[in-house]
Formats: sequence, C-alpha cells, structure tokens
Amino acid sequence: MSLFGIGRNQRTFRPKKSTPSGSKGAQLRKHIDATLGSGNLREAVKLPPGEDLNEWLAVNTVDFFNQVNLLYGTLTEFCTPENCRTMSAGPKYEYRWADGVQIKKPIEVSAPKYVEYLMDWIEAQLDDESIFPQKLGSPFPPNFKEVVKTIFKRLFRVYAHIYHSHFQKIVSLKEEAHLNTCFKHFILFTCEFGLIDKKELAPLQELIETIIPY
Amino acid sequence: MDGYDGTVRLGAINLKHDRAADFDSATAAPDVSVSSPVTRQKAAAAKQFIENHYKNYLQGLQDRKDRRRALQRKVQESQVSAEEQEEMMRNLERRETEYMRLQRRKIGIDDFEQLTVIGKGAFGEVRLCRAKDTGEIFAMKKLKKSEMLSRGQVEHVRSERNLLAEVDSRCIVKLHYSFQDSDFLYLIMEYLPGGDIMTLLMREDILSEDVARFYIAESILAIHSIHQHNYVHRDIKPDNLILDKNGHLKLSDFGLCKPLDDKYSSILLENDDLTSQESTSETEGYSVSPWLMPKEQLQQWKRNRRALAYSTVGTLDYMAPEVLLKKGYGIECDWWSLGAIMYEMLIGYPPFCSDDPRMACRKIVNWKTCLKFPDEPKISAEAKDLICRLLCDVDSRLGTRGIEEIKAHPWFKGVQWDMLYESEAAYKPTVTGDLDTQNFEKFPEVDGPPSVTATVGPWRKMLTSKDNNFIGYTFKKSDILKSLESSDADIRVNGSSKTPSLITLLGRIDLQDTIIPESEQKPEA
Repeated sequence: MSLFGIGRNQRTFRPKKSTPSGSKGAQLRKHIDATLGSGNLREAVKLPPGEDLNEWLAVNTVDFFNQVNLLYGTLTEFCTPENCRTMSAGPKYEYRWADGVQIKKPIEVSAPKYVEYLMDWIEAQLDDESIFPQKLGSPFPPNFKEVVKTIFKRLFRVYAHIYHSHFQKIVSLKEEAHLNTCFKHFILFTCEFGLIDKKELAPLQELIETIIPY
Repeated sequence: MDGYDGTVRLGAINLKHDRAADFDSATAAPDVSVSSPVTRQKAAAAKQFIENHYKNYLQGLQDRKDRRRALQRKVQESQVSAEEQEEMMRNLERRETEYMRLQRRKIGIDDFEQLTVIGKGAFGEVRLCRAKDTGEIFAMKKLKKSEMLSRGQVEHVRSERNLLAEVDSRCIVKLHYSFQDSDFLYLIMEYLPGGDIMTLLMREDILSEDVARFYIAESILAIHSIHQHNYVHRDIKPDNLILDKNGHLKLSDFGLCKPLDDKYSSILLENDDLTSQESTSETEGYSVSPWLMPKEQLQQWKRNRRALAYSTVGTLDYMAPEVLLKKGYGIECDWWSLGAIMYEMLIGYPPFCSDDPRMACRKIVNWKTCLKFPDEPKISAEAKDLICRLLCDVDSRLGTRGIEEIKAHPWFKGVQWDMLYESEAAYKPTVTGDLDTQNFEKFPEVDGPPSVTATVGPWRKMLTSKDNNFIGYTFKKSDILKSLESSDADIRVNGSSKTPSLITLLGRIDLQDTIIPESEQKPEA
C-alpha cells in the first residue's frame, strides 16, 4: 500500500460529465484582476539564496494553510451541507474525501464536511514533528516534499470550491482582492516548485492562465 | 444563504479594525443585509490578517536580502581567506534557516515556566516567566478573553499587539511572542526590572531637574518612535514609562493606541458634564490647586493612585483635554501628557489631580484657569516655561509642528539627544539578578480553586471559529541579529583569531546606532 493508502483505482478526484457554464468564467473575470498590490510575488516565491528547500516549503505551507483557513472561515454561513451537498468545483468537478488512514475509501461528503476533514488532516501533518520538525536541528523526513504536494493539491480544492461556489459572497464581503492575492501567491509558489499536477488545476484553468501565461 | 432574514442584532460587538477605509466600506457594503454580523466581522479580521501577512512577508524577504548583501560587501572588504569568507556566509545562512523554522514553531503557555506576579488588574495579570528551552526571562501579560469582550476591550487588545509587533525600537518594550488559548490572550514581552516612573515618583516625591530632564528627554524619543509609525498613544502616564535594569526608559502598555486614521471613540465622560461647569469657576473645591489640598487628602490620592493604575478606568489625570472632550486629536495629545508628567516630577503631584475623576477631568478641560504653580518647590523659569508650552492649546503646543521644536527648548540645553540611551542613566535602579522584582509591588500568590486547564488546541480552531475577535493574534519575533552574536564562538573555533566576527562586521552597518553596550553582568543574588 502506498504511504497514504490511496490505491490506483480509488480516485478522490473524478471529472463529472457535463458542459461547463460559460457565464461562470465571465463572472470570475469580472473581479479577477483585483489584488492587494502586494509587490512582486513572482520574486517572493523563489527560494532565498542559501536557504534549505524543505524549510522554505514548510514555512510557506503553514502560511497558505492559515490563509485558506481564514478565507473559508468567512463563508461558513453560506457553505452549508444544504447549499453545498458535495465538495464541487463547478458543474464538472467533484471531490470525495479519503485520507488513507481513518477513511480508506473515498466517500462523498458535503463541502463543509470535506473542508473540515481536510483542515484537520493538514493540521495533523503540520503538528507532526516527524514530518514538520519544529525543534532546531531536527531533520525533515525523506518524503517531505510528497507530503507537501498532497497538502497543496488538497488546499487547491478549497480555492476551487470558493471560486466556483462562493465568489459572489466573497465580492459582497469585499474580500476578492484578498482572495485573489492569496490564490495568485499560491499558484506562483506551486508552479515554482512543481507541487500540483497540471490536470489537478483544471477546475480553475482560465483563472490560472491569467496568473501564469503559457 | 439568501434565506437570512437580514436582521442585525442590536448591540452586536462592533469590531473596528485598523483601517478606516475598510471600516467605511464594510458598513457601506451594498449587500450588508445578506451576511450576518459575525460573518462580516470574520471577513474584516481575515482581510486585516492577510494584509498584515503580506506586508510582513515581503518586508521580511527584503530584510533578509539586505542582511545577505551587507555581509557579502563586508566580507569582500575584509582581509580573510576565501575559505573563511565561505564559512561566514554559511553561518549567516544557517541562522536564517533557524529563524525561518522559529517562524512556524507553535508557541504556547506550556513553553514557559510562570514565576512571580508583578502586576494585577481588571483584565488579568503580568507575571515573570522563563522560557523553558532557553531559560530567558520575560514578562508575560495575560488577558482574560471574557473580560476583554464584556468590557469592550477587543480593539484595545488588538491595538497593543499590532503596535508592539510593528514598532521595533529600543525606546519601546519589546514584544517577543503573542498567542492565545481558549480563555486567555498572552503577550510575552521584554522584562524591565527597573520598575516604572510612577513607583519612582512615589518613592522620591520630586526629582531634581537633572533627573527629570533625562527622563523627559528619553520619554520624548520614546513617544516620537510610535508617532513615526502613525500611532497615537493617548494615555501616556508614569505607569507606562518603565525602566530597564540600567535605568533607561521604555514606553509600555498600548491598550489605547490607535492609528491616526482611526475614527474617534471614547468611553470617557460626556461633553455636557465637562463643559456645563465651565462658567462656574467659583465652585467650591473646583479651583483648589493640589498643594492647597489638605496633606491627608494628598496622601489619600497617592494611595488611590496605585490602585487606579491597575483598575479598568486607570487614571485620567494626564489625558489631554481634546481626548477628554472627544474632539479630533492627533499626536499632540501625547505631548500634553508629557507636560503633566513633567509637572509631577518637579512639583510632586500632577497639575490637575483630584480624588474625584470627574473633577480631574473638569480641571483639565478648564486648564486655563486651573494650571498653577506653587511657590514651593522652586523650579527654574525654563522648566516652568516648557510645562506651560506643553499644557496649552493644541495650536500653540510644542510638538504640534514636529519633535524638533520640543528638543530646541532651552530647558533641554546640553542634552545629547543621540547619546541618551548610550549614556549613564540619571537614576540607577537596584536590581539583583535576572529574577529580581523588588522594583514592583508585591502581589500575594492567591491559590484559588484550581481552574480547569484552558484548552490549547486545535490551533486551527483558535485561528478562526468562535474566537474571531482575536484572529491573527499570534506573533513570533526572533532577533536574528542577537542570534548572530552567538555565532562568534563558531567562528573562533573554525577560523583564526584574526577573523572578524559576524557581529563585528554587521555592527559597522546596522548595530552601531541600535545596540546599547551591555554593562557587566551582575552575579545572581
């Protein structure tokens, strides 16, 4: 069994067969350019000279986790089991939860439940001294980058759900510049270190292309 | 979602965050009725957290780049071998990596051994504590969340944490960590064993003009350092002026600090009560100057003074009239407070003190009538002139047009402003060892019924959820320059005795104006 218990045929990510809505993209583009003007994020994601790669991955992982936590936390009034029966990212994509330990086979859960499982799982990784060492001098495990990649893949799903399902609420709360800045930083960092497979980024492809032109 | 009935609960906690523009836009949002007050509160806190994060994140990267470039430049200019140069660069890199790891280390109450109580008040307590991993001594300020919420102090708490995290100055008490659990907020701060100016004044009654001049001058630099960051203190008083072990002064307690662009708000006495008495200058007791009060009454005032320092209300004796009247105010209100403190240092009592806080407020608002000087003790004409130029209308108050006009006053003739913190302090507190608390009031250790241990985890729940009032409270400050000092030993072991230490090299660039030479360590008692 693989380290995280995810077998070849047990996918948590399943494309749904339906036509994507054009208006969804139009709505996104309407507010997508707003950011905080946070200086040069493209330079900011680069590994500082002389820095240990794992340390750089670790400190940024914690930051992205905190940001997603806070942004999603402002939407709990709207992201309810009734309104978001599944962890969807638009009409075409749906995520099911499995962590390979407590829940070995992917299960369909509501979006708030999925996020709760996800955030609890990530926090368990961050708190695990054998994965994210906090004491000075303690080494990172050999598979550290793989853990980080899984965390990033799953954090992306929260962004995908927010953009597809709750962006209008983000706008009404005047948070779109903050969301866009955090997401832009997240994507730039992801691409800099190859943390998420391209196909996993498909739900927000249009948005990502505005950040990283190919 | 759309089913929300749009009702806004009256009396809901109104979280005013630091940016007036955000606050305005939040209240002006067209969909205001679509989301609940809790949601809007969470959104405001999340936005501020993210803005602060990117500001600090990008600044941190720039600082790191600057440190590296500075070291490279100095290494090239120095007479060391290529191998030694590489070793020095590797040492800097190792320190930066350690610093980065510290940034994501979770700090909590279990990391500190709690020691003597040195302050106690309505909202909590201040206690000496020792970091378990390093043995370093700090002051731990512990604030009860429920009290913060019930007394409308959330904004004050946030103000203090934000200012301490932002301002890094030798004139300001240093914040090392802040964190929370389910019941308390914690500020882990630099411990200043010299006590505060209030205690000094209670012991000495009056100070000589030389001693007063020294501390007023250091206070000016301290106040200016927060003004430079666009903060107004609004509540400068002797309790907030604290002495380190060498007798140098630092500003502390920023619960009322507000960024300059904040909206005005106050829980102080209403306008009517203050101004309605303005024309009745004949009111008995109204115009009585402090030194004309019965001696017993003054002694009572002093006894009450200490109790007030730890109460919810505190003392209003040093507050500027424009703050009391809830008029617009700016940094000038802090210079008024300094004038009142200077008066007390030289005369022995604040100029507008009274047993009755409301009477004190009336005196302040009617300062033109009430500001008087006794025949004794004698003070110089220059001192009197300076006090009168600080306790006056905003328009003519010194400092309104910049700090230089205060510094230029004749009373400060001979003060070397840029050497104050390097020079010997005018007063040397008695401090015996790192754990000495003799300059603070004694507090009995009341071992009440052991309360249920506060819940520490999970951290994510602390970050959001029910504690959205305290989102973003966690802070860690690692003094990378200080950690560079400890690399001296490493250099010495690996290099020749002629190898310049990192601290020596960096000192030529960054440290000369900031580090106060350490006096010899006093042996433990």
